[in-house]
Amino acid sequence: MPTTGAFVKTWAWLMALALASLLLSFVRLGAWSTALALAIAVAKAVLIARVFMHLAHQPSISRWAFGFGIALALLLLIMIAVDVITRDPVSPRPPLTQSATPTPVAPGL
Amino acid sequence: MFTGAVQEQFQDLEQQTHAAELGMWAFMASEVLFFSGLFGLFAAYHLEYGDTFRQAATHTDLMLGSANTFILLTSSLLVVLASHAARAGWSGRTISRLLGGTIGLGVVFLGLKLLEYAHHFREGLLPGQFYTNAELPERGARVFFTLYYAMTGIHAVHVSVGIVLMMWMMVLARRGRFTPAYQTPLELSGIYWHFVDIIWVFLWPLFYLLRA
Repeated sequence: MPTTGAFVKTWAWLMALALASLLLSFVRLGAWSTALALAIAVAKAVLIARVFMHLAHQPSISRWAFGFGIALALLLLIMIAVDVITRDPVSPRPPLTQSATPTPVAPGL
Repeated sequence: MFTGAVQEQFQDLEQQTHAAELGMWAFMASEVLFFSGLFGLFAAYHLEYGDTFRQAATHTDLMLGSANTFILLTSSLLVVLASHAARAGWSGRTISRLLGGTIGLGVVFLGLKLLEYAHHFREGLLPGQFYTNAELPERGARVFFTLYYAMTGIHAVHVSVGIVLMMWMMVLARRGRFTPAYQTPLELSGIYWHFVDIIWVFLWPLFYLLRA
């Protein structure tokens, strides 16, 4: 198990990565900004899971259980992306036709 | 309950602890899938309304959102130190002080989130049909704020549950229930708290950093 110093060091790394992510948000990088922000988020998540959640010291059955969840989540995200990217553009909803509105009943009947 | 006594279906305390941890990790896997559905929804709409989403992100409060990131990361450090303190045999008072710090930071996080929501309400940045902001009338902005309330709201509920859990752990620590041989409830509550922290680590860039 890590020592107190290792936990404080991990926290310092997390703070530094968060600061880097914040500063990078002020730089215009186009499409790279999304990729970089998410890459930093993944790095922070891995640090938290491995050190703070002691995932690195868990029995392999626990690591597999959690890893399987992550794998399914990635599969879900990939399938959503494939669906949205390859889908035909959604055509705008057609305007309501006259027949859709109820026909007024003639007075006197 | 939570005394560290070995239940009859287990051979020893180690096996019992592993079973409890496995259960917690399986729960965490289900939580990953729960949140990934929401992240998938965000990604799908981002592909459709990318530019509007980036404009809408300039209307969230970068300062409060970023402060909350540093607050949650620090609260996670206090939780892991509390669990380390229990393993190292430190006093229940020390463990409960560290947990008190976590609870305090959790409450500050929720307070700042509520402050942010109040600002948005005043600007008409509300979810779905209640959206009335004239500065950003696009449909994409309405979708962005609907997702914003859904995702940060569900996250805030998780933080609230975490605070209650930490209060419970504080009581157990004060009663001297945690020893170097047994600190499973504290360890499992910590896993939950860190997971909630990880979710915020991904919410922060999506709603605050990726701006026009």
